[in-house]
Amino acid sequence: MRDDRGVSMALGYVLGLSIAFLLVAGLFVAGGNFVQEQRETGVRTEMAVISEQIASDIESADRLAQATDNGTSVVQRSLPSRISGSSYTINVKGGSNPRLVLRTRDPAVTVTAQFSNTTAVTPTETPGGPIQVTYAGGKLVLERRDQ
Amino acid sequence: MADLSGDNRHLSGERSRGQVMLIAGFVLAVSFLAVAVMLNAVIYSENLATRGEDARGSEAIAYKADIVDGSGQLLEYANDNETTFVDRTAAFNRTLRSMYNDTARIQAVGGIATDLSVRSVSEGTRVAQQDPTRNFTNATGSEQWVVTEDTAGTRAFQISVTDQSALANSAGNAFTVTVSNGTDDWAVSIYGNSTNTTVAVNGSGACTVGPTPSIDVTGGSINGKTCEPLVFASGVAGDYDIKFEEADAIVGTVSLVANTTDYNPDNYDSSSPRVASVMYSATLSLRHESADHVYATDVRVAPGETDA
Repeated sequence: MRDDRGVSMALGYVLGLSIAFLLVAGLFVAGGNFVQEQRETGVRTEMAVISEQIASDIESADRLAQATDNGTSVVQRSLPSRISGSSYTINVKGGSNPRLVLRTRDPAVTVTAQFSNTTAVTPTETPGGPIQVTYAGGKLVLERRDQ
Repeated sequence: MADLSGDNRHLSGERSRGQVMLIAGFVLAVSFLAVAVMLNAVIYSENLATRGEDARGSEAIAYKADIVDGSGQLLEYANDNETTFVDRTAAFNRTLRSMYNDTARIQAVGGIATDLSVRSVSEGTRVAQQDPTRNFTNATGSEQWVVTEDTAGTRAFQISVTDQSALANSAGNAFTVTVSNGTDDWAVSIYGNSTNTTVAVNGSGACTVGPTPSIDVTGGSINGKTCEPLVFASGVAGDYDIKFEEADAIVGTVSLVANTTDYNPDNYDSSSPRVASVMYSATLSLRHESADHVYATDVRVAPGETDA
């Protein structure tokens, strides 16, 4: 006598498959979340580095502008135009609390970096990529550079 | 019980079971690989964060400072070794060109393009009394006289006392340099006894040093040490006249370069004190450029000038 007597073949398959799918779905959800979390952490870390680099460029351009008499100064930097596959924007906020705000949409991450300046900075918003900080008309302007 | 491992009940199932697990495994493996690639990018940008300033802005500023120092010396060299303003300017242009050619090569090795040119040279007057046994009176022996008139700036104003006994004992009849624009005055007096010399700035204190000092009036130092009250022409705005008073109460040498061509030629002769038309300052245009930065500016070269 077989021990699966009275149990249909079909039921056995359905049970087996559903257990397998539950297991696989669980793995996908856990693995997907892990990947997404890592990606967000990675994006945040990269943006923190990039924002500090831009801040140092602005400060460097500020120093050059302060040491310029009837001249020009330009500081350029090649930055990646995508961070972990998503594009980002660089928002320069001048005024009394000068800072940089870098933002990606997917995953939605916002990173802020402070800088200090003596020369006034024009508030701008540019897509990330190769950038330059130009001193023109008594103000520093961060803009995207054509390559 | 469902059978995921496969047994020998079905001949066809022997090799075709477990595909779901296999495919799931592949998908997860690929997503973990993506994480590895992404982490690699993160590591790279964190590595970038440890690097210093890439744009070499500090090099540009150092280059500017070097050019100002070097061309200042060339300007003084040309002033000292040529006889007319035109010759001095020509010599300055020529030596600056050869200095630039040498520095440009060194900069080019580091991937930096430079450019340097002279925009303008301003004519000034050098007054010098270089006989260490003579006092500071003018050519006709007058002890009160105007050295230069309508002076826009003064640099490299050096007084060296060689005979301590010639100095007055008190401020009342001491040798005094007066700077006046008609409304505001600034004055410094030099007097002393056999052991001390006092350099007194009218209204802002005095410095006392040993006998026979060397005084850098525009640099604000005595024997190389800073004298805080000594800030040349402080509080005198605009163009001014420089006057010597009680000029017989000092023996030594004096020289200054004034940013003016106005003076009374009767005060000077071919020996002492002498006057010469020299370069007061030069304005240069320089450019320092690499792949990451462009820095262009005008610089003014006036060695020994404070801001007066």
